[in-house]
Amino acid sequence: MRPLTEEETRVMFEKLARYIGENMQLLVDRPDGSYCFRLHKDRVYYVSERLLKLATSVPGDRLVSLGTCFGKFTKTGKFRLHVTALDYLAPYAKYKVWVKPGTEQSFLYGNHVLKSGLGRITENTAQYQGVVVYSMADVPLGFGVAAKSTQDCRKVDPMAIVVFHQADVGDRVPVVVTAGPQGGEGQKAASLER
Amino acid sequence: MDQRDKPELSQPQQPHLLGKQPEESDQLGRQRREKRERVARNEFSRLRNLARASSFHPTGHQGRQELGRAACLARASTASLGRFQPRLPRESPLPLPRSAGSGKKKRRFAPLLGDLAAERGRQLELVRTLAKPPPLDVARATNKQLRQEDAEVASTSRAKGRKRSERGKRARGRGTPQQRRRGQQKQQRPAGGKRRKR
Repeated sequence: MRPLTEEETRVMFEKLARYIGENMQLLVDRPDGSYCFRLHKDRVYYVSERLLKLATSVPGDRLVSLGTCFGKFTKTGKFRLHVTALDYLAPYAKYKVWVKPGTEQSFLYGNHVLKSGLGRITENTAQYQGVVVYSMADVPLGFGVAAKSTQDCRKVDPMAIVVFHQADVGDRVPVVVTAGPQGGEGQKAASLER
Repeated sequence: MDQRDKPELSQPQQPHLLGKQPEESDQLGRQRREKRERVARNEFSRLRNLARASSFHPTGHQGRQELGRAACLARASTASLGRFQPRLPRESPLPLPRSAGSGKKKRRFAPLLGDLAAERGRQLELVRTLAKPPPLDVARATNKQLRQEDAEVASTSRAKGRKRSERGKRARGRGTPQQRRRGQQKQQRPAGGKRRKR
């Protein structure tokens, strides 16, 4: 486990800024506690200081996860945002897309959003802008990239893709075994959630 | 000298070689001798090059740098990797830099629980620079450029229009450059929505 280098921080923040823009400062500098980003086995975890100090007592090869996993760095150094970051992207998202009830299921199965399934879209969305996808009941479903700007969305035909799917809450996430009250002797792995 | 070498025959015994040099009489022997000399010369140069490349001297003489490196290695080749080795009389008291023997340096990261406030400050700076809108809005700039070009073309065509009307039908029929471009654009647009009958 280690903090991110300057280069890695820049790459990750660029990715996050596509979705939440300058609201990222609310993640970095929180009024209710000291939170930081730490890298463990190529994955970036957003973790509070208290939890980080607890995690230092867990050996590195036994530590599975801590705090919230935002994403991971690929072998070529690119940052891939995971759906587990949605809890932090959704409240601060700048550009949102609402999908109709029928398209929710399709999106959760990993398909792109077509014009026919588009309910609402934030005004002034640029093309290839990062967007957070909501259901009509304002439940965050995942995030994606706008394939067309808002103006183009009005003109395009109903079968055209308007949002490229990136991650949704239907994704399979590895199940984490949390340390039980019996103690750590029999446990193979330890994870600290939230 | 091997057995195959024939002794040189004197001239009178070889009347067909009159007028030529006596050494040329034994061609095979000459070839064999030359080959042996070539091989020996090659072998010698090979060994010499090898010695030069590997800094090995058969008489045991080594340069200053080689001896220094050998001394370092010998010093570190102990059970404690040279840490408790007594120093030689004229050896420097400072340990040699780690990069002396190896080529790569170990990558070092910031401490895990370093100054969190400073880290936050640095990240906030980064956020501020990233969240700034780009200085050049490409769409707006290109639109502006196109509008300028259209305005220029319109003004020049208006000036030329009077001269063209004097020329005759052909010039009038083609229309202004703006009209021509609009016509082209109309053709290029894909038939979206309406289905064409095939």
